Amino acid sequence: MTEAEIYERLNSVFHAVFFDDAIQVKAETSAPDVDGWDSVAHVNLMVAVESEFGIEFTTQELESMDTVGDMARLIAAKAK
Amino acid sequence: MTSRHFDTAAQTAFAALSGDYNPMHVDPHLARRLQTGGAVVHGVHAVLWALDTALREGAVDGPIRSIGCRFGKFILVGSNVTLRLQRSDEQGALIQLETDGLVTTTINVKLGVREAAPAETEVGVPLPAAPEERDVPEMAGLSRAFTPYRPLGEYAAAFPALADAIGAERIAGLTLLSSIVGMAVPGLHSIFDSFDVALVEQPGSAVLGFRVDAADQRFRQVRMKVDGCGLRGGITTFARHPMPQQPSVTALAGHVGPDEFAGSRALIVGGSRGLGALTAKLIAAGGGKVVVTYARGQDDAAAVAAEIDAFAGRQACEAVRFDVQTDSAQDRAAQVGPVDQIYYFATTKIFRQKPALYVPSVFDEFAQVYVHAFRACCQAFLGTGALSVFYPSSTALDKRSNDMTEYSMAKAAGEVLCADLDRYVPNLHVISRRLPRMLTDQTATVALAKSEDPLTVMLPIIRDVQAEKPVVAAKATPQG
Repeated sequence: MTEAEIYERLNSVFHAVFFDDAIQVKAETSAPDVDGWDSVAHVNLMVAVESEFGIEFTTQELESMDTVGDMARLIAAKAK
Repeated sequence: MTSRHFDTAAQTAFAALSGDYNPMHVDPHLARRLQTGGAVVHGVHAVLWALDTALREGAVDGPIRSIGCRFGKFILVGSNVTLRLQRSDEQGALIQLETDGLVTTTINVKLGVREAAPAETEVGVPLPAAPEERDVPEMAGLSRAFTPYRPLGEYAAAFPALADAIGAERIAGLTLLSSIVGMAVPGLHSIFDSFDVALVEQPGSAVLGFRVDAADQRFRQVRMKVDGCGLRGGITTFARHPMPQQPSVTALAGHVGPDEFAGSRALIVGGSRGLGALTAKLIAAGGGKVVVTYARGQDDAAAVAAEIDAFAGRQACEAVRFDVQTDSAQDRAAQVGPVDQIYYFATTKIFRQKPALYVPSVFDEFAQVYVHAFRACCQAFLGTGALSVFYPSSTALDKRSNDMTEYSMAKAAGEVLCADLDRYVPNLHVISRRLPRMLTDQTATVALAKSEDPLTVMLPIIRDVQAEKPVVAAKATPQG
């Protein structure tokens, strides 16, 4: 899976979780950049990402993710 | 655009209709200690009101095929809720509920033909009389079916336009969603996040069954399938951490020397619960005397004092009312008398639902508690003798979430004040530390945040404060 594919699929996940089709995530995108990305939305986002890519994050991985770039790197490593 | 006030009477009426007596809805005293800071409206109640209103006003017109809902924010009892119709067409309607400009609830109604889908379960049991409590892993795979709490006519009478549109059984089923979450799974420590149900043709189905699909320990998220009363779909919930129980003085005594803190008299501002209560117990376990203050938790403070006195076999703890936002620090200093240490845990509600990144009134409230009142407290008690003071700052300053701007600003100002008080005011030694997130009433939520053990964080700090017993000496430019 290429990085572009990961970001494309991540955009779809963000659109569904935040009800906003205008979101375009970048590597540096983090919670303050997206309206409504609070702690509960974060959980919904993580569950949706796991389901989209067929992966599961460990607690340690979940705590290590600050940006969408972190997320994309983990997805690339896990969804092989 | 229609508004409605959700008052205590309405709250009580919906609890009696749904059977959802979760204390977060009906026990304001207990709810004050939760993340919500007060009793909250049943989310399903707000949704049923919104649907009934939208139908009555013609905003939803046609057979409802499905209802999806996300409860983004809590609605506190006593709030005015405004219904905003974001979209209404032949496909359905998108409705948002707002309180103080903040979207609390998003409801997605779809219109269309309902499918036939015979219910899987026909026999139900009554709702539990009290909210059930269990750990997240124990919820995996649970299933049950409940009968509506009240006769169907009462649901139709409460939401007549909705009853005409979808039938009283389905209203009963929707209220049972609330009851399943609040009373059964996750039960006592639940938060209802969202539901999405299709309205299906299930003639004669008078019970609503649920089955736990996923109980995800990492997020404390519990997802369920529901079926019955003409509804079929899924609900997503969270299980809060139970409110943390502080260790007893006896248990803490094993961590400190019996006379380690003997001869000291410490004032614990905000000592009725949380880190304040823990600090009081640790100092008392080490042979010190403590005065714990409370703003509203009189019973909690009395319980801490009684436990400490029983442990010490003498009066070692006094409980004193001191609301730093309204009470004079000078008066309290005169009442309490000399202390040689202050631990300043006074706080106000930290986690807020805000309509904007920066809300000046929220900052003002934090600044009042974490800056102005702190200085007043130091100044007042300095009049009774030299002082060693602890000021808890927060690692939220290092790594902020996007709703902590005002809190972090006020704590940063408090840190500067501490440094300058320490540097310039004679007989005053102030230690400020950025405490990690710890499991306290205010942080017992669902977020992933890792939490440290309060005991291992606080004990070294208490030892530092004790070790820095004030040296009576002149400092540069005395002022306070």
